[in-house]
Amino acid sequence: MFTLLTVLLACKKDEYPRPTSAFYINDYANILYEATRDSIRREGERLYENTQDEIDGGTQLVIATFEVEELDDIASYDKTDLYRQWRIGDDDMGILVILFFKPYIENEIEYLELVETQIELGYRMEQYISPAQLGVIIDNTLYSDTTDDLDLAVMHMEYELLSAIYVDIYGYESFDYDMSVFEQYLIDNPDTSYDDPIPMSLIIFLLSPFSTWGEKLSAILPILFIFFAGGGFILNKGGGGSSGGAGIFRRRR
Amino acid sequence: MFKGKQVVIIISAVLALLVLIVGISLITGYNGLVNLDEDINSKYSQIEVRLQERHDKIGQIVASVQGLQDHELAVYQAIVDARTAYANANTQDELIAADALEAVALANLLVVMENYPSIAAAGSYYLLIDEVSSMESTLAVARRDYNEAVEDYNASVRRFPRVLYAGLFGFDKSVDYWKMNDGADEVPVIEFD
Repeated sequence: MFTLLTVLLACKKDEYPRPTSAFYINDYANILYEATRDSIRREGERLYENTQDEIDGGTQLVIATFEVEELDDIASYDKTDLYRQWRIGDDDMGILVILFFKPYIENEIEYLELVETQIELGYRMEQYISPAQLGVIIDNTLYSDTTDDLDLAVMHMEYELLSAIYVDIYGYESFDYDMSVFEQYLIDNPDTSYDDPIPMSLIIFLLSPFSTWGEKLSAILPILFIFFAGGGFILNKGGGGSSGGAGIFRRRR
Repeated sequence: MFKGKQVVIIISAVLALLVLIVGISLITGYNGLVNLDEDINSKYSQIEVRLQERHDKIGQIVASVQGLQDHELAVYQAIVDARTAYANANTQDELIAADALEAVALANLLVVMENYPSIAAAGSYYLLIDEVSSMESTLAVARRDYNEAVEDYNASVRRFPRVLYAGLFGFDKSVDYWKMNDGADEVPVIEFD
């Protein structure tokens, strides 16, 4: 009976997708460049590590993107439920930014546009960052007229949120960043996210009748070793935090 | 087959086992009800905290809006009435009624404020909307959490064997939900052109 109950509980379906292994960036709309995703993940990991020994530490800043067909579909997402499911931040010290994108067609090509932004603050984070402060950051970054580039706008928002966290919460003297450096980083790292993760030549080699089993194993074993030992199983995850609905909503008409 | 002494031992063992099972069931059942009851109390406290935050925030907003026009005095009066109702609320029903009154009064006040160029143009209006929106969102979540806790409790005390324990240990047979009028707990969303 106990085993059956355990199995049933384990099979309980989550309402939302699980966070990606990167955790700090969950680009389900697949709209950001890989360089942007990497930068957000690195900054998220750094923030978590830097603040773990602080009072009210272990802050996690997580960004998620979702594609919706219609604006009404956004109502099926509850930012509080998502925050709680992903258990963001140690001791409820977390921020979840959700960006909703809607497709539109121009010159017979489908694009995505940002239609709504929602931010959820962890229970304890409410003491430190106000919704009005979040509103100002969003208006000056994501909804600013100064840039049309989504990756730059999202990264700008990430840096501004980090600045608020480091300076206002943890008393850092400053948090310096340079958007032109990130812009150059984007240029220097063209997107490869749509490339096949495994080179075709390797697949051909593995399937080839001309290569021996020994050669095939020696080619695939290092990849499997890296995946199991160092890559796939080292996952970022939530710190166990919860939230109570504090945050903001922003919609572009 | 069995001798008299063996029968006594078997019956005693069965009885002891039954007593043990009933005892464990009573303890777990009682503790389960206590946990559910405490969960409701905790969620109720959360609503009270959020309501107090909104009450204070409305006070700040009203203080910042000077010189209301005559036709807007009704809005002001509605806020005063809602705040008074909240301050005098002693029972859960009164608190729920005050909650609904404050929600409607606050929404009407925001509409009035939007028509004040000095407030709307300064950008502070949108910051205020952010604060109010967040506040209403936290209240909506607190109400939902409370109602989910009540649902868990009510369902639990009706199930066997807890229905017996609830009566035995004097737990309430059911707890009232936090019911709001339709639309009174909607969260305002800022829209930009």
